[in-house]
Amino acid sequence: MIRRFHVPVPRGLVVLLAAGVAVLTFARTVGHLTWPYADWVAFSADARQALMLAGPWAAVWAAWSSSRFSGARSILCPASSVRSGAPVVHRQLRVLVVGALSGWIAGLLPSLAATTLRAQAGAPDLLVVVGAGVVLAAYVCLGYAIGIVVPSTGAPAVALVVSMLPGLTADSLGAVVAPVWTFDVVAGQYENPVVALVRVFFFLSVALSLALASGLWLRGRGFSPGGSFVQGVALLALPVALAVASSGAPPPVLREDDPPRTCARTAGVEVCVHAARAAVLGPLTQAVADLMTVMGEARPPRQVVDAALWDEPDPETVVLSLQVQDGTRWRQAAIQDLAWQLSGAAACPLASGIGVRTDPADLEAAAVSGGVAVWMAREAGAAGPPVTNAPDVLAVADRLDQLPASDLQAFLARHQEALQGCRASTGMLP
Amino acid sequence: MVSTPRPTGGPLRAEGRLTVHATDVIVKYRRTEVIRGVTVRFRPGITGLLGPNGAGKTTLLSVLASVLKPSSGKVSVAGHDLASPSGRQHARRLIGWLPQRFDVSGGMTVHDTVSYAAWCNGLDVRDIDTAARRALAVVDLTDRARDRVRRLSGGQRQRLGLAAVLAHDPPVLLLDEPTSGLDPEQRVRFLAHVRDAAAGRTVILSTHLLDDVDRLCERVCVLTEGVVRFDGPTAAMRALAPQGSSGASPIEAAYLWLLAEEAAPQA
Repeated sequence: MIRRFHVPVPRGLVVLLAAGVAVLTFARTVGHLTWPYADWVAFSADARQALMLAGPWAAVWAAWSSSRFSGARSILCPASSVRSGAPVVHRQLRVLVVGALSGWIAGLLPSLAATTLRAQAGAPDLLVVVGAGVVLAAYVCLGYAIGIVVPSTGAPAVALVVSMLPGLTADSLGAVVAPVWTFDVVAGQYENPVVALVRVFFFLSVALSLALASGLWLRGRGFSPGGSFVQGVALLALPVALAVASSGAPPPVLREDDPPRTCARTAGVEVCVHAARAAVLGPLTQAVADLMTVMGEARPPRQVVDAALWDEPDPETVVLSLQVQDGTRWRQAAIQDLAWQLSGAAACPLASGIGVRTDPADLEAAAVSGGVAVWMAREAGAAGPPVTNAPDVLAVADRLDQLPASDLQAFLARHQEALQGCRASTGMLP
Repeated sequence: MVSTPRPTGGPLRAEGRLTVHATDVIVKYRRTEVIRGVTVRFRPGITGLLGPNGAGKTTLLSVLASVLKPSSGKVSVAGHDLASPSGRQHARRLIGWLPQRFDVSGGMTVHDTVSYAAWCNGLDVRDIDTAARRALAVVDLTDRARDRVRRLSGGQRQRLGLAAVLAHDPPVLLLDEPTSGLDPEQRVRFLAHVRDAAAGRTVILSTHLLDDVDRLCERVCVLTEGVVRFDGPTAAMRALAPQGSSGASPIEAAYLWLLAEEAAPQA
């Protein structure tokens, strides 16, 4: 029977906290289930990125809990009680942190299971995942401390605002000490282990400092609030010092992988992807083959490579940034991207949206290369909306649609150099 | 069989040293003196702390409960000086403080609430369940032990508060206007529970309900504008009632006379 009182906050609150964290974590990571391949790097990173909303959610309920159950007028923990301070904080925070972590793990489970079953290379980055768990604990401790300092009904709102700030200002904080990052990490990159380790210690120190400060503030309620408050604030000096120190000369947070690659050859083109993306090699090779068929006699590139391989730029190599987050349209996007590069549209500053040029000859060249790209993608089977809706580009594509494929293949072979240099004109069209 | 939890105030009760003593206590909020040099000794039994709104009753109880540091003066509970951290820690084991308004968690059960309060108040984990059941029995809430707190009526919540401060078996009870907001029937029942709980304890009952004091308290301390105007047996206070007071009970008449005396020099 003595275990019954071991949950010093209502079970409903713990369930609500855990369920919210689970839903928000799942919402962030559910996309992995539809990716055409399973990516341990992305899974590990999203274990942290899921805290963008799940962290503040946990902080809000921790604040509600501490403001409600540790307030000076709470019969559960009156200011006159003997165990007022660290013992109370330890008991309450333990429940809240375990609840939040349970929800987080539950939310990650579907993505974890899918990645475990489908991943063809790599492994979870345990340091990153553990760091994310510590970040979540720090969010809970932050909310809890706010509830102690602001023991009123406004505490959850204050906790929401305060806990959202680090995520919203992550760029200025620096990635080493920002709880969540503003960019995604996928296969081909890996998080610097030194940074990951520093983050574990940093957020551990944040969590412990906030917990200890909460204990001091709670113990000092009423009788000597000033002194306890100062002591509590002093405890936060360590994480602040760490944050300042790391902002001076932050180490690079991401490293380029030395990636294992997997390749296939089709129509004289070598197609390579990151080994973790082996699952997409087949469909991508088929897409390249389809495009080569469309191009006919035109000179093919030497290689088509996945951007995750970090190959040096080479005129004979087409580098593709695969849109694998879109599980249903990634192949279409790859074909459109390939066509855009092979037609020379990517070399046209205006058409690619880089810079502003008003020379009519440049506009015309961009329209021709873009139109060829749209036509090539359509012919290669990329259904759905074209890569651009620019009327002059679509006009060229529609005109090409009316012509026999053999004429167009001859046109491509004859004017390939002009097209790829963005120097083609409508006069060259068959 | 219900075992008896470790007593927290037994030896002190036996020795009759359960006094709460305030000496020259002054409490200032900014520049205003809310308590102005109060010296008073509370002994075993129920003492009614009377006074109009703003007299300083809640402030004085907060000082005695060790949750408010006096600007000057000395407070001791059973000989433990509240100025020192160790004295405060010892004293807090002996105190059960029920604030005038207190927060509870509607989602917790009655039993869990009392159990957790008992743990906060220093009771050993092994004794908590028994202590909680015993405290709930004292306030007649045994049959509601498994209910959520949100299902209790106002009077039952007040009794829950009393059970929460009784669970660690404190020899000193500080009750700050515990009957405010209760209907007459609830008030009568609550006071009966206080009377039951008061045996062998030093109970300070803050109130402005003279009827409560008349029925329940052996002693009375009247506080107005931060100053003690009367401190003595209830019978002695009744005796202060002016001759020929009509329409009021002796204690009411005495109380009104004390207030009038206090106001007279300023008139």
